[in-house]
Amino acid sequence: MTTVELDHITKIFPPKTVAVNDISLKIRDGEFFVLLGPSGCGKTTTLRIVAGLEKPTKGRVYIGDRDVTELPPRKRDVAMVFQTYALYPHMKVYDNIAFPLKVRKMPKDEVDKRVREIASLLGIEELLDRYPRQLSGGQQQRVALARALVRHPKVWLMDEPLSNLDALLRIRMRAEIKRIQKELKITTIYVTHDQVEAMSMADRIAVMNKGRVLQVGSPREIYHKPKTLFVAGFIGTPPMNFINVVFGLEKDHYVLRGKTFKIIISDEMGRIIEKKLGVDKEVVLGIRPEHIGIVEDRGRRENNIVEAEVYVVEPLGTETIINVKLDDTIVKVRTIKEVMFEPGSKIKLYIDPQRIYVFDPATEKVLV
Amino acid sequence: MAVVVLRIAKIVALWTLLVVIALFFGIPLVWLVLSAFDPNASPEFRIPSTISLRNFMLLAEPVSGVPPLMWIVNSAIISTLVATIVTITSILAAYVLTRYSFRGQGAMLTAFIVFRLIPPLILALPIMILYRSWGMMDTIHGLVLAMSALILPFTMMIAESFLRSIPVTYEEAAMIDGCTRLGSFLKITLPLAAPGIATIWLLSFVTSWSQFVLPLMIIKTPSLMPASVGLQFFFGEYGRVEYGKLSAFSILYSLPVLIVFLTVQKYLKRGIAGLVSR
Amino acid sequence: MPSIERLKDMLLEGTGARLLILPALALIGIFVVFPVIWNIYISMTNYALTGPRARAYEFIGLENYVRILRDPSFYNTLRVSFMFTVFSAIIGQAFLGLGLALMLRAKEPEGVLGKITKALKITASILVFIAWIIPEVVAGYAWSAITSKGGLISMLLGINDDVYVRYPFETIVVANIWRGTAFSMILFTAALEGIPQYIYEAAEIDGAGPWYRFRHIILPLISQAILVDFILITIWTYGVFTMPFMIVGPSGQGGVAQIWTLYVYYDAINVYEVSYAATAANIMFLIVLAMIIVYLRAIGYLKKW
Ligand SMILES: Nc1ncnc2c1ncn2[C@@H]1O[C@H](COP(=O)(O)OP(=O)(O)OP(=O)(O)O)[C@@H](O)[C@H]1O
Ligand SMILES: [Mg+2]
Repeated sequence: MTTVELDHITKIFPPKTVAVNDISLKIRDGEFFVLLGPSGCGKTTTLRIVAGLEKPTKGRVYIGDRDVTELPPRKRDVAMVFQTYALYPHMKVYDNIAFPLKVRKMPKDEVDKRVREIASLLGIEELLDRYPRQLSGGQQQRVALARALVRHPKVWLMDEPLSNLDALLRIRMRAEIKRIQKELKITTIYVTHDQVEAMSMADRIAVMNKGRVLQVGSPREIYHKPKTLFVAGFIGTPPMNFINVVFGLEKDHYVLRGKTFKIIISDEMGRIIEKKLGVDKEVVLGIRPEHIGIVEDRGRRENNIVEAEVYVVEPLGTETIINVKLDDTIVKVRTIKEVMFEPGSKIKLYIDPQRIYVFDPATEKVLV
Repeated sequence: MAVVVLRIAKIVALWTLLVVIALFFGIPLVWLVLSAFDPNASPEFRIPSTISLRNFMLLAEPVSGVPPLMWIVNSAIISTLVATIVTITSILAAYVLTRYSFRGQGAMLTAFIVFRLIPPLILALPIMILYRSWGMMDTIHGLVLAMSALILPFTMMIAESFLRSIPVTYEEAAMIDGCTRLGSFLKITLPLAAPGIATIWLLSFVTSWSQFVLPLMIIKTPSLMPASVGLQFFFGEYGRVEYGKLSAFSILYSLPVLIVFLTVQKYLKRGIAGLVSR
Repeated sequence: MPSIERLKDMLLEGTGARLLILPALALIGIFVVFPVIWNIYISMTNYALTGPRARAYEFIGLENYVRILRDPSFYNTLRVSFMFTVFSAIIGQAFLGLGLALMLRAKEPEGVLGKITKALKITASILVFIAWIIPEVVAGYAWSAITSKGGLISMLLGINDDVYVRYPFETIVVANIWRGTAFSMILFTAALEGIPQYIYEAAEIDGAGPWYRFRHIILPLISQAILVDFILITIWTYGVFTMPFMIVGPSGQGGVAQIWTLYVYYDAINVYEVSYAATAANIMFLIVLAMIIVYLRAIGYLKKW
């Protein structure tokens, strides 16, 4: 049973950099847990606190049922892939990978077996005789990964272990890591700022920003039920569009009014917003690019059709991203249809009121 | 035509300057070498009529009961001890200074710069006074300890900058891999710092080897003298100075220093450049 | 055995490991800091090298300080030390070192001429370097010998006498320039190498002559190095002992060349007045400290005051 629990962890670097701000997390046994967030949000620091390389300014860390806050790294039984690899420069790749096993006094032939096994799994067998400085960045990163995976500790900690690999290799390694992890059921905390990686690998994701955890949930939850403007904007490629509108009541239905358009929303949704905020308030309308439809038929008029000006078209092969100008905001529209629009031309878009999010601009929290 | 003449004149002027400089710096050195091989050496600057190794042979014979070669042996023993003590203590101290943070750290580094620049005589005088009451006058261990302390601020700065240049991440990785904090330093950082440690050992060895003031104040018995004081003692011993033997001794005594500086030459320039800013 | 485990952790993991700095601190404390303090105490006693005052000495307060400030020989040594430092360090070593560094860096012409120039440069710089690294006693001995009667220098000057007796001050000044120039040469060479080549080229293309280039481009770029060089060689030259001791002896040829280090040694060892020597040493140490503080400020420590 290896759970990892962070209990109100705060880390302040003197004089007053708050790297981690009151984080509480419970990571389940055998879970693949991803810390996701932009650069500098405190992911590495959090990981280092779990590893014992950094003492939290406040709070406790538990691995299993044991309070490990005061324990040195070697007694926590964790393995870690460093963001900067940290391969020992004076040891060959083989010795680098074997080092954690040798320190733990594993018999020699067992060490050899394990090292070769993991090396072939990660495709670095031919590199075993080289020194780290003779490797490319991607190769070094795989060696660093091997050094962590060669052990079967209570917890694996991985700090952006794939950031330096090419796209193809990255996809292969993702699958490989995931497979090994599922097989051995080792609780894993995985740091990344790549949301695709997070979505495809995680059992659960914690989205972080500025030292805080904003939301924890499964990839589906994070994607479909973002709780804040930040989470909504961070997940998805391209990210969610945000448009400043005014929430109002017109005749007998609730609307979101932009400068040049108007969207009628369901009464149910409207009532919630009215209850939380009141009418005639400024709100932020969020809609994902894939949830905006292109209306080709010029004749029909229907509710929730808005007219916008095409700005730039980015054809990406299987899909096309159309940047349009709506009010003063650039809105991205994703479509799989083969379409061509001239920049400057007018386009009609359908916004599905069932798939929109409304945020309170003051608190940045989601309203519906 | 005029341009060519000007260019040649320039080169000749540069050559002349360089030759003058080479002569100024070379003459005392050349005299030292010439007289060492001259059985009838004198202050006079001349090519020996017969070149012989006699002066070197004579160094095995006693002067006031002590053969000069023994001073070289003494120096070797003293400097080996000093270099070893200084290297170990300064690496340990630098480890603490670079791997931990504590109050007064900046002040401590500043203090080391100050200590390093104190003229040795300022320390040698009170150390002599203290040694007289501690019964440490004329002892090798007394000399070794004082000499180590004198050199330590210097080697410690080198050790500090060396260890600072090795990222802590390697040690962190080793700690996660199962080493203790100290163990990770010993297993990972120390091997990485090996060239630096060798440099520190060699530099402290030659610094101790050349030191003069401290042994002059502490060691009075000829048989315990290191080479520096031995040379001076030898020089002042008789009415008539035995130039040949003194020069031969000087050359033997200087050789280790020349060899060490040849090996650490590259590091030296970097070290001197490091004095310009923090 | 949780307590033994705890102790082991403490020693190997942190709190305890900091104690590893102790051997160094102990050495420095006992053999550097304490002697400096002891020197202050001794200067306030009547301690002597031999005789009754060696065994039973008394506290006499500031008497030695009062006495030394009335002692003409002390003012003489102050003056000699000052002149020695100015001539030997700043005027001699620094300028010669800078000149050498510039000469070594100057572009060599193509072909045979260039090869000869290069060989001369290497020879000169190696000799300068050797003069700096050989043990100081050896340097002192060699200079004492060649400035003796019958040596090359006395022949060149045409005097039938020991040069170091006739011109003791000049001899130690020149000998110390010989000894110390390498440091400035290396420091300035490193500083000049720090100037990217394109800056020279840009200046040349802009039509700047050699003097203009030196004055307005090189000099400002190496001003920090010059400042540091001046301070450091001043401190070192001021504290020089061995070479002058070997050449002119502790009395400095009747005081003419008695820099303060010789003065202190002479008082303590030749005249047995140890506490008086300690007094002189303390006053001189204050002067060094002031120079060290200037140095610390120059390299960016001690931002305030
Ligand atoms: N040793 C330190 N001393 C002072 N500040 C630090 C230290 N380590 C990290 N920080 C600061 O703490 C904050 C969080 O850093 P951290 O390395 O955890 O970010 P991160 O999320 O891993 O970013 P990235 O994706 O760029 O790796 C940053 O603002 C950083 O500048
Ligand atoms: Mg990071």
